Amino acid sequence: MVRMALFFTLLLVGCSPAPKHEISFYYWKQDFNLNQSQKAILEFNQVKKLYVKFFDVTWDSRENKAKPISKIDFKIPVGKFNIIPCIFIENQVFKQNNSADIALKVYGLVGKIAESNKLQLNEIQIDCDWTDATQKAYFSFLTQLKKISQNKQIITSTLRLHQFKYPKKTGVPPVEKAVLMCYNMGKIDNQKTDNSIISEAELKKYIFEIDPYPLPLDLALPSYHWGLIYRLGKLTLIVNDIDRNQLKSFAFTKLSENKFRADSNFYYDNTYFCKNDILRIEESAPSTLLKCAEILEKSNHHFNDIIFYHISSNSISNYEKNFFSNLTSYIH
Amino acid sequence: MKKISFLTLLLTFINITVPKHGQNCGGYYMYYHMLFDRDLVFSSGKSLTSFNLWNYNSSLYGTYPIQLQNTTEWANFLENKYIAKDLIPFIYREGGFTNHAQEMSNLKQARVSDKEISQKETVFINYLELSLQIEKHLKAYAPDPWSYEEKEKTKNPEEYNRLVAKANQMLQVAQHQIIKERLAFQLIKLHRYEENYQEVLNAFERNFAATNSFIGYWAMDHYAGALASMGRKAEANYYFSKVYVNSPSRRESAYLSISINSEQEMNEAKSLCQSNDEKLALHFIRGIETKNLAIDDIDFIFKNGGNHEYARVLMSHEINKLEYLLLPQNGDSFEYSSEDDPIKSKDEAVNYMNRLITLNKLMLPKDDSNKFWYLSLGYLHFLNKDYASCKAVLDGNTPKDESLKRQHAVIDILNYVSSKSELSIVDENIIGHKLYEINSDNETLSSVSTVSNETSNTSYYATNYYRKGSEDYNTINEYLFKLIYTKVKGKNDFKELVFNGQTIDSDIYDRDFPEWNENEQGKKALSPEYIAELLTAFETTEKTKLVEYASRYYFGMGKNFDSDVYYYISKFSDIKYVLNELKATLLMRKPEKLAEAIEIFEKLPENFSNTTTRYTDPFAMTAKPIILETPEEINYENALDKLTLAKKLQIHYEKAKATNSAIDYYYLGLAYYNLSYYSDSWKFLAYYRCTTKPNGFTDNSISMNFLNKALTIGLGNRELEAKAHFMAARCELNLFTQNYGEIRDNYEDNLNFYKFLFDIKQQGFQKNFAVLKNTYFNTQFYQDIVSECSYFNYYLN
Repeated sequence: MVRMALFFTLLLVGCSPAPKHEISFYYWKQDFNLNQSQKAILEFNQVKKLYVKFFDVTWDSRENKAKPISKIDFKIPVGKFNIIPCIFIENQVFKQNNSADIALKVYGLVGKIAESNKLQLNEIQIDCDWTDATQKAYFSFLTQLKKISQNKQIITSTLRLHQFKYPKKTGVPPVEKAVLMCYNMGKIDNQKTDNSIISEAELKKYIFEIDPYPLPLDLALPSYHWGLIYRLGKLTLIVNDIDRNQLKSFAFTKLSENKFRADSNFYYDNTYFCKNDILRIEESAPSTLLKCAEILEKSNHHFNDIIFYHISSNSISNYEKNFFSNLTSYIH
Repeated sequence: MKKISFLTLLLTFINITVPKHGQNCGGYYMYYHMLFDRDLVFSSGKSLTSFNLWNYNSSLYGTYPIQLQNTTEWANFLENKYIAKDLIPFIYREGGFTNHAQEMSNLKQARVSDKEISQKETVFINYLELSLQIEKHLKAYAPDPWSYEEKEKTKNPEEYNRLVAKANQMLQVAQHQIIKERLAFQLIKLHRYEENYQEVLNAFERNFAATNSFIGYWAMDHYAGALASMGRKAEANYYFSKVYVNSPSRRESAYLSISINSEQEMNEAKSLCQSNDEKLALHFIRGIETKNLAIDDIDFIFKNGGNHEYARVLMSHEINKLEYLLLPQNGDSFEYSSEDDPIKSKDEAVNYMNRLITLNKLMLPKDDSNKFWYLSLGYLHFLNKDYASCKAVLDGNTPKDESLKRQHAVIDILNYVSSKSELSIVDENIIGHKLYEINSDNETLSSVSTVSNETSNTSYYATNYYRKGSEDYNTINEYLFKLIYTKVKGKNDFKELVFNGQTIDSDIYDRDFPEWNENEQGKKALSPEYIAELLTAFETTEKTKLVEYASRYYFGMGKNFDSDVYYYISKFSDIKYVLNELKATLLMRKPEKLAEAIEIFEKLPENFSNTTTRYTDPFAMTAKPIILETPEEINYENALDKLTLAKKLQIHYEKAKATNSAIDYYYLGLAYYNLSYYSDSWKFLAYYRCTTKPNGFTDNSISMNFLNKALTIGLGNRELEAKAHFMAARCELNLFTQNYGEIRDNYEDNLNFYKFLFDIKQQGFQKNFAVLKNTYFNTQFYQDIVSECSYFNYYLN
């Protein structure tokens, strides 16, 4: 797999069509800090925009109210980057009839964070996996947010693949543009799934034989990896940024290229493994991304900017610096 | 559509939010058959010191018991001049301190004796004043969650210093231990919120070095928190574990605060332990984490502590996880086959079960008279379908304790039934007797767990809505009956009914939908013919103890939703009356079957024929929107039971047919509309009204035909004719909507609603409105509906 990835990477390095899209990254951790390899990737790809998660909004069932958690802490100045705040809102929040109130609070907190960090904002992106039960409230929230912002910022929304495929059923959010999240497409809870982050076969199911989406779209592609732990056959834990190379120091038996069995109980990097746990490592491999880019190229959908999710300090070093710009040149 | 989105993205969100830690992806929640019942094996948790499932037993971990624990100490201090629970609103209050005189006066209003203890009362009031001031001060330290970087701004160092000085001053002169400890606790809180952690440590070590009072453990919780904030992780974990074990009221927060992320951290915490039990507690805390597998921690506890409560709780917890994975759940098939064996297809769970069996066998020599380890091993064998081994373990090992003895019987029954491919009459009688026995001879209960104080003195029906612990999904009855169902399916209609694991409310009444699909649902629709089949089967079924028990369970809920009206099944044979009443009610829905319905009603005992007395008048009409609830003013003179109603309908029906009487057709039309799903007399002809889609008696074509006949013959009165057209219009609307599909809400411009109005008109379902508009516009009734009926107004406009 690694060899194949290298092959495709070299292939891309060898023939680099001019990038057609502006490249951006999501920054999804609570402390905003960039190490040298992250800075180098951003610099090389002439990244101007960073989509930074400012906070999450969850439903506090004890107090029966929505609350922001994991507020961003800028450890370093953002410098030249245009920061787009992203706010993840739990679907549960919209099960209450409180859209206007939430919109005011979210906009208020975004403003406070921007002011505190001297940020000029021209876009606010909302991330929510709305359902039938919450569509009305979520869309109302977006409309309210738009009104409150008084056109100082455009409001955008993320879009899951199933929402992209079934716009009549799930509705089209009342925003100026949306971002199609082109990842998390497989059955994560199924132990037999090979890669739930991204796969060509899964992508094809969503992308073909459907009309173009009735909103301008940006495209989000994955650039992360993780380890999924199945215990007694059930998905029990996720280990972010798991390091393959470290596994050999622990009591794992390799079952296949991406599956390992724990042979005893032990702690691995703050995670408690139990005997017979199955660990599945999932990656956003360059080769898979390239194949998916080819599939997207063959589709009748047009995408503007390409955003990679996300610029994790560990995952990002798995990619060549020019990989991102090369990859995006294949997508129309 | 693929259902990947929510779970996947939620997990992604959780995963990214806190990087580099294994994140919990759910675990094994207790929403399933808990046949190895913690209520039984641990006396509802009350016999334990180590149950951390705080959401399970609010009597141990809720706010009230915590407050009561505190006020009980105060009541003792105040020499029981006050009742502990009366002090709760006095101490835990919204408002602040008023003044000494007022507070003293308020306190004394709650006295239950006139004992002279004014010095203690003054001390208590003085302490209360300080503690309320501290509460007020600390409230400002909790930042508004929607603020950003404003935490520092809310601090008030001057007030902090003043309160610390005051608390220290009071502490110096305090004479009573209860006051000293509480003042020290307030000091610790003040320092902790001020992030003055060294002072927290100093205050705790000075005042609580050797305490075992509950306030001491509250202080220790803060002490451990301060240690954690100072980076002294091992000590923090150790003290949190002490709080966890010794302070039920702080157990939840202590549990959530413990952070052991490596074997080294575990060993460092263990090295601080002063006793073997403290070491065992650390293993217990790791093992009780729902997502962890506890077998190694059970092993450690057993080897170092023998038959310790920690080991028993963990084993029970592990068994509950396996039940979740290995027992068929709601909706799963109980019909095992070699290809789809629920155990064989769960290899990893089976593997873990076998490891637990091996470990459990080692425990047996250390078991005591409660026989916990025999029960757990027997149950594990049952889960493993090793019925012979289960029986061998259970036989001769009956516990002495009553609730454990009941658990023994539950496993014994499950094992017995599972081991038989068919149940003989003898089997059924044995099982039936055992079920009655474990339920303390009550006729039936929804759960063995409810066989406690709550139900023993309540009526048979009062138990029906009670399921102990709303989070507990299953019961012995529900599981066992479903298991038996697989053995009787297709062999006996009546047994199939009573062993289907449900009750009449959730089963037969729920099959009363026009679109009920027998093939898809695997159950017959509610109809007079089906009830007749059940009656026949009932007559020929052997009335064993088990069938009796199951029947009482099933039909025990056979009452209408009104709390004041229900059948009372005093004996097994009464069930045929329930079925006959049901059959006659269904027959009433067809006018041509009224005579047959009357004949059945007349043969029923009085308590079955008049059980559904209603106070609505099906022969009345109104232009106002129909309110489905029971009328506020009950007109007892108009009370009707089903038999009387059936006779009235029959008179109108016979007269209408014999004399072509328009007015009788009109009343029949009116009544059959009001008796339908759509009107206020629906309870005469149905047992349950679904709020999301029509069910019960929904056929408005019967009413429509009667009204059309009345109009065709001629009512000879324009006001009456207008009314008949209006009722027919209501029928038209309902007949149209039944086939229209979903009327989608469009919250912005009501487009869907206008489309619906357009379609109903286009498809010819507003003919009667047209007649009203064109022909009856000058009647009084027309004026009434214009002002009362917004739907007609939509039509007009």
